[in-house]
Amino acid sequence: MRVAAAVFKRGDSRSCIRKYEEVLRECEEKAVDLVVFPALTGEVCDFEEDFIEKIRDFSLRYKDIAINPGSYFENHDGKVYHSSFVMLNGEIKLFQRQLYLARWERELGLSRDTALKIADIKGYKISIILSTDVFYPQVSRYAALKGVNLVLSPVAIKGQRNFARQIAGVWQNVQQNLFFAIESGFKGEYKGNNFYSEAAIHAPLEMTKDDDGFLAKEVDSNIIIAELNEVERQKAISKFDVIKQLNINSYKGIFR
Amino acid sequence: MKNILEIVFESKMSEKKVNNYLRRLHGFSRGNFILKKKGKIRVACVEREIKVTNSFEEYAERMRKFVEEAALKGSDIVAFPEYNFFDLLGLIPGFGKLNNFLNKKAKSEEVSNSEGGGGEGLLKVIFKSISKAYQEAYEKIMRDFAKRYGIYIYTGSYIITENGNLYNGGTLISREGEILGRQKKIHLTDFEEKIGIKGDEELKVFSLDIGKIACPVCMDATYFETFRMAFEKGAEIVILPIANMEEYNFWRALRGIWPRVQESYVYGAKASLNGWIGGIHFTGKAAIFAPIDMTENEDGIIAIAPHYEGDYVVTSDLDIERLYEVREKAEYFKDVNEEFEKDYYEKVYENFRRVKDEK
Repeated sequence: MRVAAAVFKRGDSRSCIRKYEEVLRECEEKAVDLVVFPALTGEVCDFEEDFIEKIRDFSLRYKDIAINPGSYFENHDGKVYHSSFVMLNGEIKLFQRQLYLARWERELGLSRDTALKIADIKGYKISIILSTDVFYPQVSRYAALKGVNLVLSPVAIKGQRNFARQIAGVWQNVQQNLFFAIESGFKGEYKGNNFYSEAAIHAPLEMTKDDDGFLAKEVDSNIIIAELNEVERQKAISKFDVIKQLNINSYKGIFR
Repeated sequence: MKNILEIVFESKMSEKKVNNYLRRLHGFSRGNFILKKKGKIRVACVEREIKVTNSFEEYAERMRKFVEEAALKGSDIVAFPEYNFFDLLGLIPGFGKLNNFLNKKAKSEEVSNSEGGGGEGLLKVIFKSISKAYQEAYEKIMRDFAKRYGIYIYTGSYIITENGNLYNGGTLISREGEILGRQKKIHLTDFEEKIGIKGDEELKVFSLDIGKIACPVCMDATYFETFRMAFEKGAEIVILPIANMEEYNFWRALRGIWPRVQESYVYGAKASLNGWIGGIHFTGKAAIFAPIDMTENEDGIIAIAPHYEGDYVVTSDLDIERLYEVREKAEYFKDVNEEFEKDYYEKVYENFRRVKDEK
């Protein structure tokens, strides 16, 4: 499967519709099967209508590309969630609300989802591990032990550019769970907070060219692309099978 | 009945030899201690090269010098690496020559024999044979050093035999030279599994006057569960002995304790073994880590050895009070999702085991 992460620069959110269009057109040209956009795009972008409907419009025009359009704040039953979804040919295939909240999200009074959803899309077992959830490793472990082999992560990491903080998120979750992950990061301001996060396509370290866990890293372009190869992933796992050596009996009472 | 190796190890590390060695040691002046700021504790992590020897006294003296250096730097606690006994495989008659041959061969072929080369059965015999004699002798000298230098010692790991099973574990010793407890490795490598080492099932946290400390072993830091349990039990500092049998690579080295420290908001102190033995190359930097918010360069590193090979004592001051302040203010830490976490063990781990068993 050919996958892509959208690369958003600071300020791109001011002309979002054009940026989405450019990204999706490039995905179509390059025969991309699935693309992930940064977190908070549904909030910071200049969509004039409902976020989901606008994405549906894109999805119907860019057929057969599974789109994870980033995230937005969803109002549901009097509560507000930080939410994301995957849409394919105008249909929502997977919907996920964030499970954990950052301090700034708690201060806004957001609510949490109760479960991680999994969907079969284009031959992969996929979960969305949304933004703050990348810093709670129990979410990634849950996904891995349920057989997820591809994680989509729209992220918005609070603060200035910080390589260490970025690595402490998706990268390390991939290395301790050995799934593929597509990360797309938001850069900019929202509600007085500054965010800086980058795009990357991750894989187990043993199968990456530079032994660094990256199939693709952010560059100055609209998208970064990688080819996911499940056979190669299985070979990498056979070299360093973290999951096999879990000592389950010792984890009783892990969340007291 | 004892095998020949057990007899060799017992004779070369006999109580008499250990006592004679300790009697010859001179006193230690505490006047050299470096003063620390109030409320801070100083941690020392040993990075050391394997130096194969056929003399227990020579080995003991090397260990003592590391303890002395840590004490002279004003450290409250010093930690040694995983498999801290490899040097003493030199006590096996003929091992020196065999070792030189295997190391030379591996270096010339640029291949580290990290799979054990099919000699798992032999290694199991060696590990079992050295276990009792080494543990008795090593713990005795380390208890003496702890008392002599007034410093807590985490011994690093070695083979512990219990009820006929082999474990890879280490011991925490008080400033008075008392054994406070042992922690055996919970997550094994494939190699350890092959040579018959068993995994522990409980992570302990030791409450000391310098902080609450957990001492898992090497591979345990690949698993967030280890540090989650340490945090749940109140750990403030996690000491980790490592012996990585692979060529050094920044990204591979990053897969262990560093991300665990970032997830669990504890201090992490890594002691590392390096060098060649039996054609296997060990590499790794000793280091002291903290949550990114607590480090000057915002990289989660407080102190790190300059190279992945050689001998170093890496020291740093830790501020436990500040750790709690940072935990309270952290952006991405300490949120609780009661519904998601409820029955997590059953719905995640037990379910995984059930599905695996059904296959």
